Amino acid sequence: MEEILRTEDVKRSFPVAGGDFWALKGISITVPKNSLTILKGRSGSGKTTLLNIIGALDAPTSGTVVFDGKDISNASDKEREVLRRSEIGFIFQSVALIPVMSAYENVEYALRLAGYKGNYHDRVMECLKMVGLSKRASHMPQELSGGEQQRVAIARAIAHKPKIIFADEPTGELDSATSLQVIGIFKELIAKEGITFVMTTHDPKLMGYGDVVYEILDGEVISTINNIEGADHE
Amino acid sequence: MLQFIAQKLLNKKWLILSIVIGNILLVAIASCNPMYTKAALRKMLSSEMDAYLEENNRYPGTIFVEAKLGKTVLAEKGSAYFKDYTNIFGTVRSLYGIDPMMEVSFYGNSNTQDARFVNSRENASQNYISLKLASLSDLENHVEMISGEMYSKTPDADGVIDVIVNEPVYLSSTMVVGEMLDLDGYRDVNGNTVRIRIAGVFRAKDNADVYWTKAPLSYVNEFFMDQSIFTERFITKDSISGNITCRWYTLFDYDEITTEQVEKMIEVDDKLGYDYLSQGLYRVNYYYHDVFTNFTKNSGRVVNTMFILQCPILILLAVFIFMVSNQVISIEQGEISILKSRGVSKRQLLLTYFGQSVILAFIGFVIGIPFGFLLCHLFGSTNAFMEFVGRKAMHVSITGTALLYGLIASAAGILIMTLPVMKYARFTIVEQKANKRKKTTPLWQRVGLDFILLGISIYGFYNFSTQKKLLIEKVAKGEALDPMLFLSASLFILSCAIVFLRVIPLLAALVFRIGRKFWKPAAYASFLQIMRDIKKQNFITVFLVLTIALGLFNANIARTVNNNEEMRLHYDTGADIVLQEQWADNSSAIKLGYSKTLIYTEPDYSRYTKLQEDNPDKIKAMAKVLVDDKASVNYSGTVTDSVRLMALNTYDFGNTSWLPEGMTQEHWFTYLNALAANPEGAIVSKNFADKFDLKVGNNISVFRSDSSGKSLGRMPLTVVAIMDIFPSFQSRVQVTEEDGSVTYTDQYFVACSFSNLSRYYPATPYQVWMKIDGSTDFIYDWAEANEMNFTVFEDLSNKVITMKNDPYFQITNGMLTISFIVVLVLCAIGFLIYWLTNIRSRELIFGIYRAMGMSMGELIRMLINEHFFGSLIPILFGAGIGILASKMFIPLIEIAYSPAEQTLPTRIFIESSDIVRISVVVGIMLLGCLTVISVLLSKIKINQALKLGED
Repeated sequence: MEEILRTEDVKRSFPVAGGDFWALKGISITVPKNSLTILKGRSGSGKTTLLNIIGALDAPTSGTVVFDGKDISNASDKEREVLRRSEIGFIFQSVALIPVMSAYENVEYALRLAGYKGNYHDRVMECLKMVGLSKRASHMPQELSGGEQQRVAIARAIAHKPKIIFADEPTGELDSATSLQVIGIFKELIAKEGITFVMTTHDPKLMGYGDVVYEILDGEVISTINNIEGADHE
Repeated sequence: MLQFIAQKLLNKKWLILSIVIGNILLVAIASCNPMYTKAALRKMLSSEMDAYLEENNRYPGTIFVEAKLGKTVLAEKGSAYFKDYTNIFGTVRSLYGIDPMMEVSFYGNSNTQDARFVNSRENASQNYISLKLASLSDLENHVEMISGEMYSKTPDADGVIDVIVNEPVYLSSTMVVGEMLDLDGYRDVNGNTVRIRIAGVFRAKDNADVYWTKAPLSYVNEFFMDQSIFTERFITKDSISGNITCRWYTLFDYDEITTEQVEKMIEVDDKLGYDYLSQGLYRVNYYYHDVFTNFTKNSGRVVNTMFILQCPILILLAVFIFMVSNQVISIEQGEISILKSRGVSKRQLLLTYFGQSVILAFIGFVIGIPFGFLLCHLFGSTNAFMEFVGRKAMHVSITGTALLYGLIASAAGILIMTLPVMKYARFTIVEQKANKRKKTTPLWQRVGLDFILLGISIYGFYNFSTQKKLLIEKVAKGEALDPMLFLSASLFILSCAIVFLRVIPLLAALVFRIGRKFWKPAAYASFLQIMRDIKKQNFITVFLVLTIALGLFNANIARTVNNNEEMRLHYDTGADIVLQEQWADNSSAIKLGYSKTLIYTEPDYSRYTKLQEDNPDKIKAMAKVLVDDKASVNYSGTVTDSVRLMALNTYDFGNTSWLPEGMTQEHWFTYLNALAANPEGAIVSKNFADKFDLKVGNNISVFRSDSSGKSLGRMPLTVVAIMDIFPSFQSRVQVTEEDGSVTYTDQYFVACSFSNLSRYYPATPYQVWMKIDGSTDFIYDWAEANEMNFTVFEDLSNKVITMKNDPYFQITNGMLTISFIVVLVLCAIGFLIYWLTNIRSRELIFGIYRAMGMSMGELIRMLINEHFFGSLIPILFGAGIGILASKMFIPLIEIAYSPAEQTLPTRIFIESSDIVRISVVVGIMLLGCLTVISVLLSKIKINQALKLGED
């Protein structure tokens, strides 16, 4: 199984009154290419901190993050920006669309930022079609439902063809039917576009959909489930 | 640490502080009106009183009661008929409620009595002299004895009364100190004969002492004795020794008189006059009465002007408070709707916010009143717009009226602060969320309120423009300007600002469209932000346009009023210094019949040339100018009298005198050159040329006569130039008729060359005009050293100082300066608040941009672009509106400050230094804001920003 991302003994501390708080206490995980990896845990477990680090938003206090064969744990701000712009996509829990842009423009904007080389219009419509919203392209975010907004966010995240997409509680504000719909889109994109998804969630119902599931508690991985064929079970 | 500060900055505390500042300024400016006008009026009063003292040479703070107590009246009507004259001072005190500085009473014989020297003279005709027995209270403390001694306070054993006499009286008589006189024909109240002894000779210690309500040297018949002896011997309650004149002078310190007292005193004057005059034998006089009456007329104008000038800034403050309160409440919107959903009634909500507003208003009041007090001192030291000098402090005091105004302002503040809650208090959380999704055009835009307001203001402008003449007449009658004029101007600026709101998105869209292909992601995002999120920015945009436009408008009013007045003074005077010496003549010889023609002796002009040689860097130029206002001009048989004839040497005159540039068709030197080219030429005033259809090339004859009216002959001239204005020339003179109506008389002038004039007329007194660089003090020293007498001595710098000390100008400059500063402060605060809250509300979005890979630099570039459209364009537009409003309305406002008969046209002054000032402040503001924002942004951790999204 080819890996796209790997962490080795990643630690992260935050200064608090009376010393340091260790949010991550040495995490080593592997994200296989073309898969849906789920980081499971209650709020405060450290899963979002981990996601920020592997998503090049934050740097680890110690340990190594290897993305696509490169060690990014000591990358500069500039290098991180380039990485985020071109190879990484994000989806957030809350409505994270740019409010002054329509669905179409939100997606298009990701292309602009990434300096996408192809035809903008075709790619935007293609992505919107993939999330089933091609008919609502001209709507403004506030005119869309929560699920629809999240689907636009997905379209935006995949538009510039990143290698990996990080989703922080993407279904957190959605009802279960819509949540399943979102996961369905993830699965479809993994199959069609060859993208890798890493998502955090605390929803036990979604665990079964993950190819790899890491359960995190108090900054440590307490269990790993690997549903990929041929993988070792712990 | 920085993050901590940033958090605090972003916190509501700063908004609340801004509201408090708004309230402080509101109270301060409202309350400084009565405080300052009172102080300024008091100063005005005191300077008018000073002027009275100087002109009339008598102390103006005097209430003067005179009674002529006659023996016959007493016999007919009985003593009860006399008011209690012993207590006139008491009556005056209690009526006026003043604490007199001094009370002087004079009792004396109304008519002279014959007195016989006890020691007979050799020449019998010298045995008698005429005198009046008199007494002045407290005389002993105001005279010095030059011979003999002060009178004793009691008669001696034989009943002989000591008297003292004035020095000239003594010197012109044969009397000697110690000598006695008998008043054979005079009896005291008990019927006894009167014998006096010359105890001494006095001289006033200080002739200028206010004690001398009549000049000491005017007492030429009075022989003064102690006042108690006089009353005991010559006037008692029931009896009187003859016709006695009593005068009671109550002197008060007019510097201490308050403006309220003025009104009261005028009232009391009438009552006192009535009480005493009805007795038939009293005369009551108030020296200050005319000054006071004139003052009450002027003070109304000053108070109104102050109020009018204040209005725009008060409105701006109200808008500011509303804006910030609205911001606070919109932040608390969520809390409000949650409270509503939990069943808190609208009334309870309003009450909570009302309570909060009361507390803020109270803080504003407590700090605002002393702050207003400080502002008043600042007003007093304004010299011109945005210029301060250390001047003698004014009597500023916190008055009841000031507190009342402050309270009213606070109450208004409470209302303004509570008002925005009404809007939000209606909705529960559900309704609020529903509302969020609605996108509506604001009501005012749908009905076109902005255009309606703009229309009204332009109509107002049009109306005032067409009634300009009426305005001028009103002002000439002493009325203040119509507040509606200022309102129209403010409305014009406001409505322009609102109309501008429609323009900004269109403008942004236009620029966006033009470069759609080229915009980098940062610019792209910011354009969309401006075009689509404009509603949130409406208020700050209007506020920015309003502050800049009003600030500039105010600055321009001040500049125009000041500069025009200075220009007018310069024009009217003609040069920095204008002197005309007293010329010696042979008029006494004419009186005695030795001569028939008046011949003047020209004073030595070399003194002037020497002065110039000695002070080459002070006197830049000097010119002889003959001014004769009584010349007659004959053109084709029609004679016009009282024409101003000016004879000058064109080169010197051109260098010395001054005309504002651009007010004549060509530079005025061109006209002078035309005169120089033709030695027999004349420059005539346009009104004269128009009246007689006079053209260049026509011939006229000038006739002059001497002071006795005797003709000096004719001088033929050829018209070489026609001018509207000419230094010191007034084309119209205002004449106030006896019935109070105002009429205007046209004046004309003819200017010719000095050398030409000398060929036709003998030397007559001419003026010397000087152009001075720096202080004019040396002229005074020179004049004194040379013991020169002048019939004309005009010093432009003195006139300018007088103007700057005039309360009317001080109020204008002070109020406009304060307004300008307040505008800058509000602009800076408003701007910062807007941007900080704006950044805060968009933190999540910035996080998204960053997560999507946008760099810090791009994010800041995006904000700069937003700044450009959201701040810079409104600022530029505001400046444009300010200048436009200035050009439209200032000529009308200027009317209030210029005399109706002025010849010089009014010019609008827009000083680049003010625009620079605003630009610098705005620039610093923008830069500071961007710096703060950059620091804030760089400190925002993307992951934390994103977390903000998580509830």
